Amino acid sequence: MQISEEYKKTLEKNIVEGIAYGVENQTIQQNELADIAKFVLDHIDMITTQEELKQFLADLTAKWPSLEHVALVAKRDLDQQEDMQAAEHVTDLLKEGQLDEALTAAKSATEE
Amino acid sequence: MAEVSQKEAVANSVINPEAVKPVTSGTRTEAEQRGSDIRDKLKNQGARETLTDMLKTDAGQVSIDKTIDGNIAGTFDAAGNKIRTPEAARRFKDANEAADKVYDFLDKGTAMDPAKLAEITDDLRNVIALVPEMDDLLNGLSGTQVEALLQEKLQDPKFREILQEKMKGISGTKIEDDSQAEANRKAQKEAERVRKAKEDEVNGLGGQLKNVTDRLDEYKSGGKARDRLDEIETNLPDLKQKAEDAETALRGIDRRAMTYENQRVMLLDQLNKQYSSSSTDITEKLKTVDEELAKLDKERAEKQKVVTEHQSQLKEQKELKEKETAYQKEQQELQAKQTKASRELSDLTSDANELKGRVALSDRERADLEEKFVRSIEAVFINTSVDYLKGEISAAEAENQKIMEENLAKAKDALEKGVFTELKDGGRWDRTRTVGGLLGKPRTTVEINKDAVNMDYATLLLDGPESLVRGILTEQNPTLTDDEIDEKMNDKDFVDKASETAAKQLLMKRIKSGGKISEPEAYKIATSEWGGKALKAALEDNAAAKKMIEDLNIQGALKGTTPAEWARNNPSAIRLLLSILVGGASLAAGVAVAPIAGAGVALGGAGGGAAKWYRSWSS
Repeated sequence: MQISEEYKKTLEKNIVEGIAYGVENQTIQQNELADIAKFVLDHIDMITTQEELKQFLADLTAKWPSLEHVALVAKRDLDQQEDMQAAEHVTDLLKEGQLDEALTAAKSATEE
Repeated sequence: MAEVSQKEAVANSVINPEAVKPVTSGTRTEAEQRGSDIRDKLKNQGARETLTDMLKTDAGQVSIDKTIDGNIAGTFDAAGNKIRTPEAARRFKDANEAADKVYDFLDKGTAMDPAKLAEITDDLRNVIALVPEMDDLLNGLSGTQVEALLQEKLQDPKFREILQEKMKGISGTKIEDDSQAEANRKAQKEAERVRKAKEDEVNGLGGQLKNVTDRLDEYKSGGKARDRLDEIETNLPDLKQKAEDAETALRGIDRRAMTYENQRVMLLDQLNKQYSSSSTDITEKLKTVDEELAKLDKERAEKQKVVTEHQSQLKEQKELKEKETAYQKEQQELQAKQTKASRELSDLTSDANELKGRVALSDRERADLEEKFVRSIEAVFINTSVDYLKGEISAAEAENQKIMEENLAKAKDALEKGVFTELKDGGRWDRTRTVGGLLGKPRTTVEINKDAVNMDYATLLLDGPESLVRGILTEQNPTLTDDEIDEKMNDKDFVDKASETAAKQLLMKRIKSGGKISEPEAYKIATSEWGGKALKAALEDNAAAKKMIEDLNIQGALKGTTPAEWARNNPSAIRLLLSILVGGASLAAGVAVAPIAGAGVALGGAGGGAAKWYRSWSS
């Protein structure tokens, strides 16, 4: 699944908000700002898939754990998107009369 | 699951701060202010721009804050607060203000506080004033044009890069604690404690000595003890005689008393035997004896009193004298102790003072280092300006050198090679000189031959650079005929390149040797055919000079498209242009000796002084 440019802009905004929050609460120091900004700007434009996004978020929070909240919100967005896609897929299968496949797909989505 | 929900709630509050941000009152902390600044940027510029700005937020701001705090010394109170002397507090304030100015500039650029920006612009202006040609140019521009030109320089990413690099260097400056100073401070404290104890001892001895001296003073004339002794000694001879008489009398009294006692014993015996008959008579006799004995007792008591008085006064005299002796002894002992303790106090005071001096010296040395550190921050814009201008000129010089090397590489024959080699190395206008030899080994130095430069410069102005090229060809090839020289001089490509290079090199030598290119001369060069061509051609090859022309065009300082038009419009700009075309030799030479390593302290931020300093050096 592709990550839209619009979503990446939202993510950038969330990251900046997270940084502001971290700076206020002193979990992020002023001397870390340039490094965080460089990391984000170096990687975010190259993200095209959910897997790449997950990896980016994992790397970001590994380096700056105080941005975990930002990653959590992004993960929630991803999960919601995946759920919607799975539901659409099941609906499509049902429309095509593929009842067994639809059931399997629904079961698989629920298990995930 | 509950944990995730809680985390999500927190996460939502992070990315939607306005929805949950508590209403706070009072002053914001520094951290809160920084967070708020980031949000303001996000709101006004967007996330991408805010992140890009963060890239510029060098770690330096925090780093320099820590460095300043660490480098400006102080002592810690019981609560752990750093307490600084008023002088150190002033240094701390100055350093922080200077650093804030730098980071304000790095953060906001020329949109920073206008008053502070004016200070920075002044620093750049003052450094530019070190270069007479550039100074002339700025003097020839309007205030608005100068301001715009300076601000353009300040906005150059290279300027910012140099500034950041310099601040990085300053942030890494650590004024080490002098371990000896700390040891001295401790030793001085201990020495002061010991000295004070000795001082107390000396004072205590002084008190005791005063006490005993006061007592001895009583033995001096007019003193209570002396008066008493005198009185006793006056009385004693008479008293002694009286006492001796009394003792003689006492002996007689004793004898008489013994006789009466014997009579009394006998009368009592008789009374016992004749109690009933003639007892009255005996009783009368006994009464008389008792009366006599009583009289004797009374008499004895009187005599005894005299003897006792004599003995008492003798005893008192003895005691008074013994006390005087004891006091004198005590006084001597105390004086000896006091002398010894005073000597020790003197030594201890001397030691304590020496240590105090050492501590004061360490403090002064430390204060000097701190002052230098503060000045390094205050002078960072001056040093950045120096390096920035130096870099621009170096780039121009490198380009010139590259052009000459290309000319040499493309030389078509030995004649061209000879001419371009001489022009590249500039040997035509140099001479060697041997110095020393009387005491040490003689040294050979290469210096500019001013006479040769002046002669060729005159030729250049009168006849143009082709005459110079012809001269070089002729001198290098004495066997060639005039026709052969003419033939080579008809090679337009060679003559153009060689003329341009010869003119540039000669002008460079002229400036380097301290000669000036006056405004009329610059005007003549720029409006001459060869000068105009050389300037145009060189501009095509020299990116730095080209940029300078573009800048000046933008500022409206150079109008037109040809050097002749520029010269008519602004002769001082042409002087600068010539300077840049020849590699900005004067600027490079000027800034090469600027005290960059010393944080530009010698420049002191005073433009007039800086320019004077440069001129005195360069003249």
